[in-house]
Amino acid sequence: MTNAVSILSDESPAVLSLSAADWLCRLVQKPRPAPVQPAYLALARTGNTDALALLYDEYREPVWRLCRRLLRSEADAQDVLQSTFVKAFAALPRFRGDASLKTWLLRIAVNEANTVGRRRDVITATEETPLPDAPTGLDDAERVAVRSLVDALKPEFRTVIVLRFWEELSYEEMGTVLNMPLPGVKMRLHRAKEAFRKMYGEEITG
Amino acid sequence: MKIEKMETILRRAAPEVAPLSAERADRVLRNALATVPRRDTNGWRGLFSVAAPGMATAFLLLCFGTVSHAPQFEPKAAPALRAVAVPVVVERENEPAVNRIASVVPGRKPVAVAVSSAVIKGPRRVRRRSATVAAVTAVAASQAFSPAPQVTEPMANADEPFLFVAATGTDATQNGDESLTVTVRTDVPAEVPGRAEVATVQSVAMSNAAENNDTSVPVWAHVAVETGQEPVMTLTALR
Repeated sequence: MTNAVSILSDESPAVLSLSAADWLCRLVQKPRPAPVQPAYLALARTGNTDALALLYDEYREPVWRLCRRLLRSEADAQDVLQSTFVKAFAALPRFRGDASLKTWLLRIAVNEANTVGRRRDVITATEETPLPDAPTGLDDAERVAVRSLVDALKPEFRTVIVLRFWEELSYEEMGTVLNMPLPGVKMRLHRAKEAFRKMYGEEITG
Repeated sequence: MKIEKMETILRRAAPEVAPLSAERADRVLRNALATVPRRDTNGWRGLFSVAAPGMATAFLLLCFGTVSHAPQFEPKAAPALRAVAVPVVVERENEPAVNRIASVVPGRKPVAVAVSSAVIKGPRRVRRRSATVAAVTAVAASQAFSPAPQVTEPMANADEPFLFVAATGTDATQNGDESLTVTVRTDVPAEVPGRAEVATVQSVAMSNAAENNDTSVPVWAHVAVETGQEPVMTLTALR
């Protein structure tokens, strides 16, 4: 154990704050198993149109749902859906398979939605296309208020709120989608919830 | 408010998203597949193209006996999407380039005009295009019609492309106070999301052209087109 610490002592001082036991655990940590990929992936990488169509049919709805929930305009969401699969098909040969196809596609969709969202700040926004209400335990007014507050959040906060509470992704999946480490995801989600809670409290108290 | 209660509220506020229509879904797939480089991967050739990289890698591993330096199959990168920054005006077939239309209003000298009915093809992610067009057809107010198109000169402006059509004529009306009202009808196909609307419609006094001895009378109509696909604009001039 002493030898392990001395080997690592050349690293930055912050490293030495961990105990030797922690470092030994990290050294022997098993790598996360690669997710199971669909059987048609190999063919899809070669550009086989049937395989690409299968991939599209399987993941079209989750990507569409995310696009629609991230963007207020249906036209924008359709554009993002289109550009997501265009880029996905082009980048598929380079897909390493260390993440699931779904989270990989959602990552592309989030990046595309952010691009559209930034552009929307410059160009006059089109008429919003409100989403219908699903039957829930909230009354209409509260549901509309909550959605308005989520829309009013900063884009990075809105994204994590949508991914976590509306798309029901795990923290690991969110990390892959956002290309962030797990602690970063949790921190951003914490800040997003704080921002929402503050706005919600102001909304209630007027 | 407790965190758990807030999270419950957030979850319950999740909006419901209707599935994509079949037509729209097919269109997205077609457009995405159109960007994929064509490779023959059907049948035995397809299987071979899939197996060949693995077979080649295995052969090289066998020859050199190393794992970490085995060459990887790097497929050719897909070509970049064709960037269409400037709308392309599509000329309809079987129609004359210049339409000389006689005035149907008795007593008026004919004004030869050139008009445009164009399909704008812009980038797929067009948000808003301001198209400034000019189209003049001398017809009676009761007889509005879609005139023949003319290929115009799209200006090379990636941000604000527009069409310009000049109305040419050697015989402008000689009556004073005679104006020409341009009506722009914008037809967006039903399957195209978005809308097109006329921002301004301008009328011009034809007599001005006569006074200046001009052979062309520009009439401007500012049309804001806001779709993600291909709008169609039909221009009609009424007198």
